[in-house]
Amino acid sequence: MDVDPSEIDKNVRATAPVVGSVKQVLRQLLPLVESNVHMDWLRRVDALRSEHPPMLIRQTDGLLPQYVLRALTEATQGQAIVVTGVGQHQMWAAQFCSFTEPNTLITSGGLGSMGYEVPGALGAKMGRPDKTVWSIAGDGGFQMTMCDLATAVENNIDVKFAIFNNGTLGMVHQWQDLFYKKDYFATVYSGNPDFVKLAEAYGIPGIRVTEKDQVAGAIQQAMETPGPAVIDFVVTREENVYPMIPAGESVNEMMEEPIPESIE
Amino acid sequence: MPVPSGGGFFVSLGYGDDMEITGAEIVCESLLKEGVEVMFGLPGGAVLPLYGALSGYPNIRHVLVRHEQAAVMAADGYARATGRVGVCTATSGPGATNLVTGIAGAMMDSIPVVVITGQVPRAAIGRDAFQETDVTGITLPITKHSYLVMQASEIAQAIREAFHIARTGRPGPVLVDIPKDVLLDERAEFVWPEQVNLPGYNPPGEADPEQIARAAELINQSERPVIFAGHGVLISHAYEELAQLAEKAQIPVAPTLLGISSFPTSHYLNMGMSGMHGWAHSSLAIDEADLLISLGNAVRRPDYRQDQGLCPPCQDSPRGR
Repeated sequence: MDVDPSEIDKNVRATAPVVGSVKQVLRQLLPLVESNVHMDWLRRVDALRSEHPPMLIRQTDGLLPQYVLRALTEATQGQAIVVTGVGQHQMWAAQFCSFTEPNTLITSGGLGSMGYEVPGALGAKMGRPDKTVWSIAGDGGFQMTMCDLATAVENNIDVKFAIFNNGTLGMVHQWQDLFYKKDYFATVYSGNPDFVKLAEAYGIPGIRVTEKDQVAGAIQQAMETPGPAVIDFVVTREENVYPMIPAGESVNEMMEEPIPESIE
Repeated sequence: MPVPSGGGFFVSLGYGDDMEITGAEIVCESLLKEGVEVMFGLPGGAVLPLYGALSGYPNIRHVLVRHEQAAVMAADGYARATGRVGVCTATSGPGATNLVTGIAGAMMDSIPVVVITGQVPRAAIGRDAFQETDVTGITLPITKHSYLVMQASEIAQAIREAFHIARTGRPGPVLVDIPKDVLLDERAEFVWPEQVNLPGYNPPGEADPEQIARAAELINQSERPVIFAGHGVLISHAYEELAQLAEKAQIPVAPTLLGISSFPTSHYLNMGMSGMHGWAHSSLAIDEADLLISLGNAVRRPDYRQDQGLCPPCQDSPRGR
């Protein structure tokens, strides 16, 4: 079902194409859909979920991005607008953040533009001043558009910036790890600025977080700060996003992490 | 409130129809008619006449950015957060080319954005003038539509159409390129078109009842359906309807990345995102499903490409024309 007829059969041939806006189509469709329980099918889905439990974060001394994102979504009770960049942090945000309202995960999906997280969040906050807006950035993407911290300052746009700083182009690094014989060519950022000092240079409070027990307090401190704030989460570098279905492969080739013995 | 020097204020109040205002003021009056409250931009030589007029329109808040990419991405973020059309502006040449990535992103994700660029004066077009670039040409494949407005008298119509095209049907970015002298030197009456008449542009209205009936039949017969909820659910504000469909027939939902906030994360029928980095059970459920109900979803991920022998539910109707 798509409002754009050119989408029909573009990537997948539809058994039953329906052209129309989703809302219009569903309104017409709903009276014709019979009530059902799909008991066996939902049981099967539950079994799959038990065999492959989502949302697990393994216990470790290091600071995992997943841990930070779960703390962030707990602090905002899933009611914040989350604007992400592109890469590992984007996928973890999609996996570990909760959403309770429409249009609250804002992300560059199709084009996948790193750097979207800074200006995209500024625009979202301008449109929805009533909402808490978190910009979820990697250290790579953040450096593409961080000059617009000045725009946040100048206009007092109250966006909280969380940098997931692993000193690498994380997703590319992950592909090098898995598919390019761990040849980490041109993905390690050894010349990153001090993001706390950078924030302070713009007159924005900057907080650095390196340990798990600092996470909740830093998030709270940022949310209580009037106006923009920056948190530099120095996270574990060697952390890959799983599950992963390699590009062009089927679900049979899915790579998963073993279920951890102890979880956060 | 300052009164625009060209008299746009008087025209708005319905003063005599002999009142002519500059092209730049027509742009501002048009934005007011569209209810624009905020726009993002960065000025430069060719677009400066528009900025000269904007300072007289305090109801349109201009947010000055540090790089034009931020202007278009902020307009995009504004549009995604509000469902309204985002507006940005930049000057000719490098200002315009710096917009390209953001425009392409808005196109790929179906985001309504109106982009207004200054262009070199008409007489200089095509002469490699300073800061000249053919921005309508460059952005042709990444805009839903674009205008090069060569007369001040055509600006209002172009902007009216641009907003209409940006927000209707499958939304997308529309670019309006206006030469400097059309903004500055030309004067025209501000006439706001009450209606848009675009032959050949007819966004779908009511869906074909036969297509609906066929879809309903498949849903009612299905033993293992999955709703594949995409961005179109959010764009068309079908949040409630999606929940009603899922709950009425007890169908698990696998949102796409852009569709994630179309269905509450904590809902018992929400399996979470599927695909390359989606939750395993969600991808596996799609693999075992006998029916995928794709709602406003470009099915872009190669994971679901039938020509690679993937996604068994799709195999019943192999691709090929």
